[in-house]
Amino acid sequence: MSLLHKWLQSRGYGVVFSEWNSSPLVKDTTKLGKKKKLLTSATFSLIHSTDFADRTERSILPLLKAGAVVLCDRYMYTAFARDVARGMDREWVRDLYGFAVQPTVAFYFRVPLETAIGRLLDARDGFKFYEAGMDLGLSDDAEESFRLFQGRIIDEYEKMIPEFGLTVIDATLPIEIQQTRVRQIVKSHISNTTELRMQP
Amino acid sequence: MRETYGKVLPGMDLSHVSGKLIVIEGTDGAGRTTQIELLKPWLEELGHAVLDTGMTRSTLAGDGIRRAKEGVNLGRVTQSLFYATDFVDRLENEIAPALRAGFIVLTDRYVYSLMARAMVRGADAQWIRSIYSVALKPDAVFYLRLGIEQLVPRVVFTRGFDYWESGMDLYPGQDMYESFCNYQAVLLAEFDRLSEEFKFETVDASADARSVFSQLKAKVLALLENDSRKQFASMLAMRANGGVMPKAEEDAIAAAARKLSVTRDLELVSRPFAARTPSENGNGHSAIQNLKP
Repeated sequence: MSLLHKWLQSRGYGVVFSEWNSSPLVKDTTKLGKKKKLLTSATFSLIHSTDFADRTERSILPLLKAGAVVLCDRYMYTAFARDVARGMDREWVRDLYGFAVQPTVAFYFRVPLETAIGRLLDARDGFKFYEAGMDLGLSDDAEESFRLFQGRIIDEYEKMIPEFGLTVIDATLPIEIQQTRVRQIVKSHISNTTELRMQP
Repeated sequence: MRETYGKVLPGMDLSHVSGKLIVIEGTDGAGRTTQIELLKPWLEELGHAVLDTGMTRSTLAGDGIRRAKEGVNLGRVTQSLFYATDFVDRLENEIAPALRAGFIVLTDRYVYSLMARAMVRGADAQWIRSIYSVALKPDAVFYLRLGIEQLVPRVVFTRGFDYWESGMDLYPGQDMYESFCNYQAVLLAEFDRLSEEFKFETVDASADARSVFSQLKAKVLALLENDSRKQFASMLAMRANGGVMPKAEEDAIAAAARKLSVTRDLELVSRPFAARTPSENGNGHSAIQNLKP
């Protein structure tokens, strides 16, 4: 994502990055819910959609109208996968995000479960409560719970590939190859759009 | 079995939700809070356990919504979803557990106010209904209806105009009074539509608080009597068919029925049933069924 961002900027595009769970109006509530373990499957789903709505209304939509390229690290598909893995109704969650802007292109970086677990364990010390799906009571062991929960999430992503036409990138390949592929696809999409150019 | 408006949340067991869910709806200034303050001690006096709840009172999202409303940059979709988070947190952690424990839940506004506010702000009707399809269907919705002409003096002489109650996010070019009148008028029209769709019981809120309270008491009593009558009748039917209900449960049903005076007509039949064995009794069940209101 960072490489793509820099590449687009270097080509003069007005690029804006929007990160999951970053709304200034909502993130404190999400933090409170996570810290005090107040979130159920339903309120986990709703508070994340509230965060996404704020970013859509205040940032994503106006920026798209202005002709910017908006890069989103995670989108509604993350919610579809996680919330359904937490037991929420598939149709209800899709309806909930009915306000979302249809993306020009949505990439799904696919890795096998074991690779994902290995990468996360290398990068940090253990898993967080909700990240490991500990709220679902799948297992008392965080790593085992993470494994089971992420397995469900990956199943949901796989179902979404044909449903939403997600573009799959094999995330086990070297980064350079992934990046070349992503740039080719992005280039083919943005050449036809209104562009917001960086001011010289 | 309690019903929802379509979808059931994970972990929401609808089979033993025996309490009563009573909704007080109405626009701003219609006197909902005053009526709940009167209804709660009255119901407690009658021996009912009562929980009162209302918007933005959730542990999870209440403070977040208040903080977000301090500024003027809360978008329409975000606002709807923040309130939905607050509602579902209270539904799961307050309303449903209280109903399961047999409480009467008095709620100051319910999903209808949230739907009305969202729809006057341009939300898609299907979208907002889908979100609230997880809500439990209440036992009664009392809609305190007040026209704009009566609402304005109440607001002016109490708390004054407020940015959000005046819908200033919808009519930014207008002064607060104009915006208030326009906003409350469209809200009222939306409430009237919802009233038809969800079969609200309308109460004229222009009368003084005591008189509105009397009307509400009569409606709540009728609801409780009806429920008590059904429970008492099914207890008699069970007895007549040779079934055994735990004594504590029987005593509770009988005590509630006596308190609400619903036993008068049913006691006449309860004596012969109590004296007969099921085989002597014939089809006691249909006899009881005929007594149902």
